Amino acid sequence: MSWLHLLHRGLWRRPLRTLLTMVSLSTAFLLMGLLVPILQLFESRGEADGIDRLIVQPRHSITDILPISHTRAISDLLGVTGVSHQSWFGDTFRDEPSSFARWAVPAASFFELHPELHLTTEALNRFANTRTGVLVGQKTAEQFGLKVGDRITLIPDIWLNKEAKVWEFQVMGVFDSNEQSADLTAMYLNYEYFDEYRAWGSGLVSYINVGVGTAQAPFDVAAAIDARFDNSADETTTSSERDFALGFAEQLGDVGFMITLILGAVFFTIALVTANTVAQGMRERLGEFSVLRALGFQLRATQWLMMGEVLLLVALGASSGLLISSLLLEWGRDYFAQLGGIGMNSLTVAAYHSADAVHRPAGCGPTRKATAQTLHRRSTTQVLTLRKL
Amino acid sequence: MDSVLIEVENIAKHYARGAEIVRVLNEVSVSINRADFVAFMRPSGSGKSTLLNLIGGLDRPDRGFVVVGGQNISTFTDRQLTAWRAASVGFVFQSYNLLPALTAEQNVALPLLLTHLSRAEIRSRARIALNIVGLEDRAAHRPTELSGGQEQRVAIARALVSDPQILICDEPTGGLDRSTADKFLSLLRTLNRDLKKTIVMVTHDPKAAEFAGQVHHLDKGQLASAGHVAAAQS
Ligand SMILES: Nc1ncnc2c1ncn2[C@@H]1O[C@H](COP(=O)(O)OP(=O)(O)O)[C@@H](O)[C@H]1O
Ligand SMILES: [Mg+2]
Repeated sequence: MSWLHLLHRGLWRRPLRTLLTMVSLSTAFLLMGLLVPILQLFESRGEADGIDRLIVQPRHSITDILPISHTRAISDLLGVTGVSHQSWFGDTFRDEPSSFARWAVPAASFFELHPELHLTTEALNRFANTRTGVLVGQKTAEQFGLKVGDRITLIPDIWLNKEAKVWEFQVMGVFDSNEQSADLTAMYLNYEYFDEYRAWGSGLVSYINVGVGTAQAPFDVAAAIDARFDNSADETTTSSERDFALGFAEQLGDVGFMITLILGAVFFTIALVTANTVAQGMRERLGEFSVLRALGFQLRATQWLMMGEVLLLVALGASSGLLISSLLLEWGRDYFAQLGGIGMNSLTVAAYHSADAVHRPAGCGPTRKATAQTLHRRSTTQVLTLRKL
Repeated sequence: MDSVLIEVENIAKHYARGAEIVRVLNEVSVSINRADFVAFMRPSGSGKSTLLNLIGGLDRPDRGFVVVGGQNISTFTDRQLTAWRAASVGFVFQSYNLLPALTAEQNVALPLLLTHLSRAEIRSRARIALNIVGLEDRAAHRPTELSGGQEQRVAIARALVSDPQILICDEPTGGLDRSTADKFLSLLRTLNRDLKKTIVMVTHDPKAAEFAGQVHHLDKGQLASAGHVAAAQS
């Protein structure tokens, strides 16, 4: 018999009730454990630490496009150490339109600017020298069993091919990375080939990637880029890659505020429920506490016993919830690390798609037409388009 | 041997029930000797429990005072009174008042949490107390797994465990059948005789009173009569 024992026995006097209360507390803390890292991420916006790359997008609508001539203008600016660009190439692969991101990039400058993407020099050279070549991320290669030499056929839904019904590509290499922010599901094709054969939109890019050195503060460079195109037909918004991805997520609403709101509501409810349950339990046991008083327990001691029970309950609920959330985070670390590190990964792509869906119907005519065609074709033909050599 | 242990002097106690004031005790004086076994009798509502609470330091009188072992406990602060209770009195209530979540042994051990004894010592003392009341084999049972008589004996063990001078019993046999009650009362008498515990009991069971060495009759807010019960047995 000890004080702790007494506390413990009191807490578990009604095991089911204690358990239920603990589970609801645990759930609240689990939610907190999962949401707070995301909240922190959103609060890290605008941090200049460790930023070596910027991303330039059109100021006014995220599905608008930028003229490729911007890249030359940007490379002349102070503090810019490298410029590349990437263009969204959607289209259907094995009837899975958004299974991975596909980008048209200039071979040399893109991989120079993204040294975290590892691939052999031979693979890069093959890619650069083969107009229909593509590089696929290690995860996509694994998922679809792709290897060097495999042919890939993509059915256009945005970008019609001027000379063919489909786009034909051939795998030139597989890239890998040690960085968790790198998107190993992505596929890269040659911008030059893409630009030449697409039916419309020639000379346009989705984003411009800018490398910045340490000589200039990254956000100063970003400001200089945006200032350079002020009052032009294609004004820009430049941000760090991480802020850019967070910006995408924020298309869905003020995420930080929503998380705070959810957590607030959850904790308010749980606090009420817990307080009510605890109060009810204490009321039932007032008799027991007066027995303890009769036995010579000081008022303080009985008050501490009551408090102790509540603290023990909350501590057990909180620690179990936080433990589960950290296990879940550990388990889903890849995903969260991507959130934290951020390249053009699945999160951005998902956000892109949702934004795209909203903006496009009101946007450019050819796109709408192409989409309608694809829908029509998809409903009439079975689409399976991977042929192996 | 006839040294006075408990001296109740002209105490008065009233309760306010709404606007009405209930005068429960009025100018009550009692004195109880060391190692006495005293029973207070009389009808319900006559203030027996109130008197016991004052003697046991659970409450303080409006007027008068209670002196125990030369200490005027009516002047104690709540803290002092609580500490005094822990050291000097053991309570046995009609409704047993065991903690349902604890085993018999843990219930008995409760008062020892207020001492500086080690866990092992607490355990062994609780065992001894259970042994005295003949329940050592029920140590691990919960109150719900015990009969009324056994519960009441656990309550006695709990009252004894810190070795107080005084045992205060408020209608201890109220919930027990005759033969269980008699066994319980014999136990009290043994504790009185062998361990020299001073026992103050209230009851409206005349048979219970027979076990006591002395019976006081309380009536209408006064201590109506007092006298030794000649028949206090063998
Ligand atoms: N805390 C209290 N508040 C108000 N009235 C009380 C309180 N305790 C006891 N009484 C009243 O005082 C009277 C005596 O009570 P009590 O001492 O319990 O009598 P007994 O134990 O002899 O039955 C009863 O009328 C009871 O209702
Ligand atoms: Mg009573």
